Amino acid sequence: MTKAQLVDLFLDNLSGGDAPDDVRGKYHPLVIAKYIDVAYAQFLSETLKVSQANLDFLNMDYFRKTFTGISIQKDSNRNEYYSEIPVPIVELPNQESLVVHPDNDPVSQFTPHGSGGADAVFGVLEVHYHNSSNSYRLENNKVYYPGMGDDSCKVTMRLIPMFSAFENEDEIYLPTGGEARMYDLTIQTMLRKRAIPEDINNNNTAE
Amino acid sequence: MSITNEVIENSSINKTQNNASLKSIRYVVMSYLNRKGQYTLSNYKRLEQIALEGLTELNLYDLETVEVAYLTMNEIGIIPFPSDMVDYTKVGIPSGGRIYTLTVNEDIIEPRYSKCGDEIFDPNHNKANLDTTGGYYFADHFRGNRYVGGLYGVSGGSNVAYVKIDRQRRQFLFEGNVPRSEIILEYISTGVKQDGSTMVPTEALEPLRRWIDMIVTENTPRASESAIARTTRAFEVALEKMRHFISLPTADEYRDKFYESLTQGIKR
Repeated sequence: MTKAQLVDLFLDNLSGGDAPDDVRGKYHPLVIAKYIDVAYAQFLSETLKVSQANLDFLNMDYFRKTFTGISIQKDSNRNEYYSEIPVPIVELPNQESLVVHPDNDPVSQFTPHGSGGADAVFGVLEVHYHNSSNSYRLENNKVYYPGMGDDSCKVTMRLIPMFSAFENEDEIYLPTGGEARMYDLTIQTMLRKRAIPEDINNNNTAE
Repeated sequence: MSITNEVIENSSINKTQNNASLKSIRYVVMSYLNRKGQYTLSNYKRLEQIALEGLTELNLYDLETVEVAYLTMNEIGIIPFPSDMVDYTKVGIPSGGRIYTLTVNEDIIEPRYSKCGDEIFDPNHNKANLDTTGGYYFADHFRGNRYVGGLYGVSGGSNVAYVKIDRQRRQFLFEGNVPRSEIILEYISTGVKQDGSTMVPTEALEPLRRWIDMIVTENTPRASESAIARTTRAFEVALEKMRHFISLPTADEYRDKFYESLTQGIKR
């Protein structure tokens, strides 16, 4: 199912029938797409938890999109090499949403370096110079490569984009039963909007 | 170490250079991840460091890892310790296919004079060119098909070169005449190579995997005592199996030891 078809399906559902009164026919397709965006991230998070519990990570591969031939550039201020992530990605635990490896060499996958104090900790340990793998550090929409010496190679990124990063004609792969769960999550997200009181002043009177 | 295409290619080679007797550290970590069913590399560096520490422990107490390095000293006679050296067993010079060990001389002055952050010898200190005193020099020659060196009548206890172990600065200091400034160093190694070429003997694989499991479990928040005890026990069993494997002699070694104890008696 393409992104456009998914949004249309949700729009159709929300325009009548079984949709709760609070949300029925009230939303523009672009607004619905935004809500699906939130629900999609929630859905991915739930799927990852199930994958971790069952030690079955193949499910996560359905959501990945592959970008090859991504160039490496130099940040002259920091004297480090980096690549730009082509589309915004969902932030999942353990950087599950991003896999980076040199083009045509998936075995030499880059390992996440961690951020914060990781540089300082690893910097004085044997693993810093042992160099049995090439690592990367995620910073916003960029991937930095600590220790990289030149920009001569190209990289492949297999990443899980945010729903909003998909084009209308892009195929959205959902596991069996995923559409219904996505619909439920989207409705829940829309209904949550009403949980915020319009008048935030509380005068301690029951009204 | 900077990562270039060449290094990426080399590291790719290292990853596939596993054979029956030696495996790479990467292999050990990947093998552990596979056992855990974790097909994500998010903790790879942490696990690799734990594996390297485990390998160092095994090398210190169980594995027989004696390394040999051919090292060249700088102009003032200093050679830094190899990064993986725990302690030395021999420091010598090559001659005739054998290693001649140098004598330790505690009187060699240690360089503690700093220039631009680099330690050098005190400029007022003239590096001694140690000539053996008391002997007589003449040309090397052969006499009666025997080689006679060019030094005669030297008193005992002198050597052509001396070494001092400067542990504080992790370096060797040399004095005297060392041919080609090259020495041979035999040392006990941690087994961890700076160039990433660290290899693990097959018999150490299981203890190392169990070591990683034990350390990870120990440091997992809210890990149960029974889980910690179980992983510790598993590591100890694996360690014992490795010790058993290492201590087994070959058939020839056993026969040599057996024959050594035999003496010929009177035939009756």
